[in-house]
Amino acid sequence: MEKNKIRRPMTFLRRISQILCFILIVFGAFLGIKKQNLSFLPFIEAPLEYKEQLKSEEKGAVILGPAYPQAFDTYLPVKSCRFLRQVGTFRACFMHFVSESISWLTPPRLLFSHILLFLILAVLLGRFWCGWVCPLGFIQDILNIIRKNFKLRRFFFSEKFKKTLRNLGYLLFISIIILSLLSAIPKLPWSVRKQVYLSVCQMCPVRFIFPYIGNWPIKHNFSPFGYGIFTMISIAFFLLLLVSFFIKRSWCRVCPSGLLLSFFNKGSFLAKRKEPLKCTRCGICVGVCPLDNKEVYLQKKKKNIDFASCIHCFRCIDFCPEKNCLKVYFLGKTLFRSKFKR
Amino acid sequence: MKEILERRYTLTPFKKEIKGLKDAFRRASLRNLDSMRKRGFRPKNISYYEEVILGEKRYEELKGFSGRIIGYFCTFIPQELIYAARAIPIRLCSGFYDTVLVCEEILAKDICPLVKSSFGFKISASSYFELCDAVILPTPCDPKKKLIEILSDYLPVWVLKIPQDKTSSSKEIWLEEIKSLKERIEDFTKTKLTRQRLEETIKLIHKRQTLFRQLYEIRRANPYLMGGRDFLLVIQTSFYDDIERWIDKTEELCKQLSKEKTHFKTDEKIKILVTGSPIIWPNFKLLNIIEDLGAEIVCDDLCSGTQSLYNLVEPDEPTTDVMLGAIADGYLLSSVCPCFIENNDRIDRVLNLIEEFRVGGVIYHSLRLCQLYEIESHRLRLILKEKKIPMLTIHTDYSQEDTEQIKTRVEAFLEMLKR
Ligand code: SF4
Ligand code: SF4
Repeated sequence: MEKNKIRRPMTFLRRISQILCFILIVFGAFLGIKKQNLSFLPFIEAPLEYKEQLKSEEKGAVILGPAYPQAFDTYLPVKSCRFLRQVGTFRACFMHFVSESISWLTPPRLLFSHILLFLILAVLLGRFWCGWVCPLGFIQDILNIIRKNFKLRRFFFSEKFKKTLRNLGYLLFISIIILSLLSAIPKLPWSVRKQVYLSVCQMCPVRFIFPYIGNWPIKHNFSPFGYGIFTMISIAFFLLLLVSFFIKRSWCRVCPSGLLLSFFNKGSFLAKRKEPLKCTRCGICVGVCPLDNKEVYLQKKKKNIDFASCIHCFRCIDFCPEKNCLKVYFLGKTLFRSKFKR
Repeated sequence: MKEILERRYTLTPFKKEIKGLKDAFRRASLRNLDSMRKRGFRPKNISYYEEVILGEKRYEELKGFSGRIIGYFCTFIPQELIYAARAIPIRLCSGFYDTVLVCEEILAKDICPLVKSSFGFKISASSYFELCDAVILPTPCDPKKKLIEILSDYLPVWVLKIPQDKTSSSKEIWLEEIKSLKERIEDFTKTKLTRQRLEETIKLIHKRQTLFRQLYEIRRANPYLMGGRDFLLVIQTSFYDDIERWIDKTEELCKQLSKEKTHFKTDEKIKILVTGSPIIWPNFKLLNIIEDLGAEIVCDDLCSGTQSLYNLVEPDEPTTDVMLGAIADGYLLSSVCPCFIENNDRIDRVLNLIEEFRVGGVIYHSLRLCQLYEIESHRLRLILKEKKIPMLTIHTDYSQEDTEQIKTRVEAFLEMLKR
């Protein structure tokens, strides 16, 4: 038996990816990666007006009104989370994009390339972002690892409550769309529209994290109590995120970003496959899943085991003791398979 | 902690000393060993396992053990909990014929031979059963259930109620059972099953199971390295043997065999899968017949065989609750015992074994009066028929009377497979 063998290769890789992405997303600008306001992808061009506006901004012109006249950032195009304006590079979340493009009624021709990029990534990878890239996911994982090391008890959401949280996610998603539409009504004065503008960011639990770890001196982009109800919601979500100390990935069960990606999970090219006969129904995969998903365990008829609430962390494949029972599939190729570990 | 047994009527336990039982056991064991030794190639240190299964040395060793010895039946009992209390678990399921006769003096004939044989040991106050301070019994079938009641006159008996299925509500009940067993063991041995101890023992048993899987993989790659009976012998010694010594010896065995791999060629033997009721030493009658006739038992899904060491307890993290949950899952979920209402897992297991080991035919061991297995053979037969895999069902018990008869049937079956 070699001593230094990595027992859980997928989890090992994932942690590396999470750490790198966290650094890149949160502190990327410090690493010499220049924070850019424009996309580096050739096919995603910022609209001309915006470029000009930026130029004048650089020259010192004070621009009244919103700083984001056009939405042109999905997730890869470099533009940081708005709570990390000084230090972050790109963002892992695209809810901002959804909200912004609705709020400013961006013409579809400008959106096309972004939606295309989003679709390509979503269809290729599904919820891969949640498990491997998302900094919030990483924070939750870290919280849980701390608990683990203190040997404190792990708790679970009941099945019923999990469903409630998921429904809450739907509600959140729909209300974000509606609020964004509200903020888009041109007849309303800006002071009114401002109240619901970017409601998604106002409700985001990140409000209480990123400004404190990323922005020096600490600067809220919103005055924390200016938006009453949204602030309350974001506090609640922040608390939910802290619950991940006891319950793994508690925020992920509500996250609207994850919800949108989850629609692509079933058909994504990055997928899990199962050899139903080889599975002994030992239940190990349920115990190790951060979202305690039962689907992998239950499926005994089909090879396809993709479903909405999986974050593609592949821990189940790491832990499954049956050789070749579970596989990571990408574009028809097997990347990794479960094996029995000595 | 709720007492399960009220014990309103306590009877004086019936006991009867039988002379020569030990010799008879030795004779029966040697008969098997003689037959097994006829095999061309056997690993070198198999003699160690032979000695353990004969039992005499181990018996003396256990007699000198100062701690508690806890007996158990079936594959449902978490040995982790017993080891964590610094006690020694001994599996008491027996395949010895002579004690069946002893038992029949007080119990009716129409009871499963396994229960009769095991209980016979208690009546005649011999073997490991006498050394046990307490016994843990699950409730998979009716004979075992009633054995609980009967045994409660003899020594402390703890019950582990097995749920009827593996749904999540059943899992919760089962987890409670495991937790109450833990309390019972703590009470009895006056040791607290702390988190560290549980972690240690889970690791220890995990080591044993992975080692077993290693052996299993070696045999899968080349089944002819080790006979099916030798394989079962290795497994069944783990019921009695000192766990750490067993691990050491088996590690050695694995090393030996993996070196051997290159020299040994696959020959043209028929590969047989044995499934059905437990086959326990020294009741190797059916296995002897099969292997003496030149077929090879490449795999099994017997609860006294592969299933008893195959399943893993794999806690995600070393916290007490998660570990207990993993223990509960590990012993319940991957069980293929026919005591569950729906037992698709067993069918899948058999089909998978057939595929993985490229099995030629299935021999279904149906112990007389073991109704659950007998009933299940029906569905399995139909499913295998659909897949065009021949299956032979053998109804038998622990006596040697029907040896010739079985031989003829197995011979004809193997003949058919050859064609
Ligand atoms: S861990 Fe593997 S063998 Fe166990 S239930 Fe999950 S998929 Fe099946
Ligand atoms: S089902 Fe598997 S890959 Fe999906 S979240 Fe659970 S452990 Fe990760």
